[in-house]
Amino acid sequence: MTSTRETFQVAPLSRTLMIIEVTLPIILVVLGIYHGFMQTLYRAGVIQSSSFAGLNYYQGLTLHGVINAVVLTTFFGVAFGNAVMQFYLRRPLIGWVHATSTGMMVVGTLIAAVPMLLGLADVLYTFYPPLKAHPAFYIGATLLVVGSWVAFAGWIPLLRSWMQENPGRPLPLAVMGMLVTFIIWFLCTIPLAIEVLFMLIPWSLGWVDSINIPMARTLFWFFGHPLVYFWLLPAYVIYYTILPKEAGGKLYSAYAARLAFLLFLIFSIPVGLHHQYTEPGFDRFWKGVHALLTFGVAIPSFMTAFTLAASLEYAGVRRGAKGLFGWIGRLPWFDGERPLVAYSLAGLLIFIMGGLTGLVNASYNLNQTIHNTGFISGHFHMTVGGPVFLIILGMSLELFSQLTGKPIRGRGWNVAVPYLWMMGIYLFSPAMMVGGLLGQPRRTNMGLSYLDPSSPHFRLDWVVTSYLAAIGGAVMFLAFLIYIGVWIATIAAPAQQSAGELYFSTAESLHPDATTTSIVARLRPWLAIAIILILVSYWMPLQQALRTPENAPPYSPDNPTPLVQVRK
Amino acid sequence: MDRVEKITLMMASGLLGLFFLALLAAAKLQGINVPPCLPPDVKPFSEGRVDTLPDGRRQLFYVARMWRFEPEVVEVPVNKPVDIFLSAADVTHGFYVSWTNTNLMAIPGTVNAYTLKLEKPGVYPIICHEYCGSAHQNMVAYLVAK
Ligand code: HEM
Ligand SMILES: [Cu+2]
Ligand SMILES: [Cu+2]
Repeated sequence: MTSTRETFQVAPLSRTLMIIEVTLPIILVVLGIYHGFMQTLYRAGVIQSSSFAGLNYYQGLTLHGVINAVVLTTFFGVAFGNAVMQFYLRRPLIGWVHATSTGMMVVGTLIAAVPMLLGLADVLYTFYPPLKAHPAFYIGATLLVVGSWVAFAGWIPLLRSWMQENPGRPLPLAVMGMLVTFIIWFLCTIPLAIEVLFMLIPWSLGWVDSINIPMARTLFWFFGHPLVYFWLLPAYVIYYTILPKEAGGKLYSAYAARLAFLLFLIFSIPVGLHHQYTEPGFDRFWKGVHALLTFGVAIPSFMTAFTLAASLEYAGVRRGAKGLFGWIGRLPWFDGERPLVAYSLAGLLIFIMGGLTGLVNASYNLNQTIHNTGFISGHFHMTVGGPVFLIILGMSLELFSQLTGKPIRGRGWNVAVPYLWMMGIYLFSPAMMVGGLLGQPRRTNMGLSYLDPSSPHFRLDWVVTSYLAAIGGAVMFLAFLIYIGVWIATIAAPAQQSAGELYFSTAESLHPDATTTSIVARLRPWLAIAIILILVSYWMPLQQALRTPENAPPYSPDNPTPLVQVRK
Repeated sequence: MDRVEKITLMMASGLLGLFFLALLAAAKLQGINVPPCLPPDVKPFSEGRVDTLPDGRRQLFYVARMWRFEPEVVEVPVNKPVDIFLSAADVTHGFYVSWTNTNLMAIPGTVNAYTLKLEKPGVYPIICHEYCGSAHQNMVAYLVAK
């Protein structure tokens, strides 16, 4: 480490807590990814049974969704947010708040893990009622979320004091990005909390015998779409701040970056009905409104695509590129000293298709052909399983290395991981999507029926795509194993630099950044628009969900008789 | 903001606007739409049946339950509109008529509806595509178009 870089020394307590925040989820993800690969084998009919090695298909699928898409992403959002706040605001976290938050998240995860591992919560990561999980599943998940709220609350005093000391400066871009991320997260976890605390937990404990299912689903998706932006925005922060610098250039425009974050703030929540197009009970008009707003949330992603391409082009030209496309060849694709470039670029290449297929899903009536088919799983492995996952992998290792003072080992292997993953994805996802267009359902252990030649439901037309998906899955699995190898090598090596020194390289803006008076440097007006849009878009759908004629009692996933007899 | 950026922003918004108009056109002109909202006095039913209206139009009332559809095999005329109504008797299920746009959720406490027209004779599997418990993968019914 050169001494000219301005690092931030993390206090010992926070350092330990942050090491837990990055390593615990990576350990759990080993199980999550293992079962991802197994799913492709079941779905290709290579495994024709309800469970393998003691793990049932749907139990494993629950673990896959919960660990990869909820536990990993929430821990990472908090860990990275903690790092960003400390480094850019140059202030330590408040120890007891940090300890409370990490403690709640860890305990919540463990509490939820027990019923999942015992097979008492085979309800998938969306836990749609009236399938019922053990109450500990909901309680653990609640603790995890509330722990992340506590982390967010702990940043506010730091932000306040920074703003007082720096009245003439807009928030550093990374700080603003993480702040927007967590405002979205806080707003959208409120409906989730209502669903879980007032509907699911009392019902799973037997205190009420039936609940309104469309209402529960609407509250869930009120949360569920912004959730995906909670996954994605930390990656965007890294794309906007670290990537242009590490690639050797500048950020094309920090002003546009701020605007993009603010557009996410207003558009990412009032769109949840796009997961409910095929459900009864809501007017087509409101489904259409949510479709339109979903197109709105595509605008900041288009902007990001432009800004990043322009920034990378600038970097390439600075590195001596000629011609229209020469910059592509000049980027440090495989530089083992800058692994985040490799993770970012591979992620972006995946995200091109992830974003475009997302537009397909959002497209109201077009969704009729693909809803709940393999197309959807193909799509979101190119978003959450693409840029989001790769950035999490790359940055978690980087944070671990900085927090422990151990340099990353196996640097060549490390930069091979994202590209190998990308190749796997580009086999897996198209195969899943074509399969989906041929009618393959998602969330289905197809090896027991559709892909079993001796079953009356056997579908010959689904064989090729399922096998291709399994091959893609194997490549992804291999990439992940290499990544774990890099971690183990890194852990095993001795520390060589002082532990707990945070450093993020940060790109300057090529075009002028905002000033404190610019509209993109102020949060309040945008927050107000966000809340108005939420109220407008959800007021009627919630009323309509309330009108559901009948409530439903709880069911266990392996028995058609309700767990409670409802008195009528 | 830089001029190029403004142009990009306009182009992206314009393109999306165009896409949205295309969707509306498909809905209004071609009648390809999402399921409608039935009036709240339409109560869920718990027995599947096939009705034929006086004008000959077929109406199918499906009940999705762990882990079968009722009725299981139904014959329908080719190239004639058929109304489908769908209720769930226990948990949430899916209802996807292979190779068509008939893609519905069966939500407890509600009735879903769609109009289907099969253009080619043949056997169309109806697949439950929402996880509904341990035997979800066996939940299939068939439409036979003649
Ligand atoms: C080796 C890597 C992976 C493979 C082979 C894989 C495979 C699969 C497959 C086949 C499904 C569909 C199963 C079904 O619907 O029946 C699935 C679902 C899913 N995967 Fe992955 N996956 C991998 C990694 C990931 C990662 C890294 C993430 C997120 C960070 C992720 C998130 C999800 C989610 C959220 C679902 C949906 C679960 C549900 O429907 O309840 N996967 N995966
Ligand atoms: Cu969504
Ligand atoms: Cu079902």
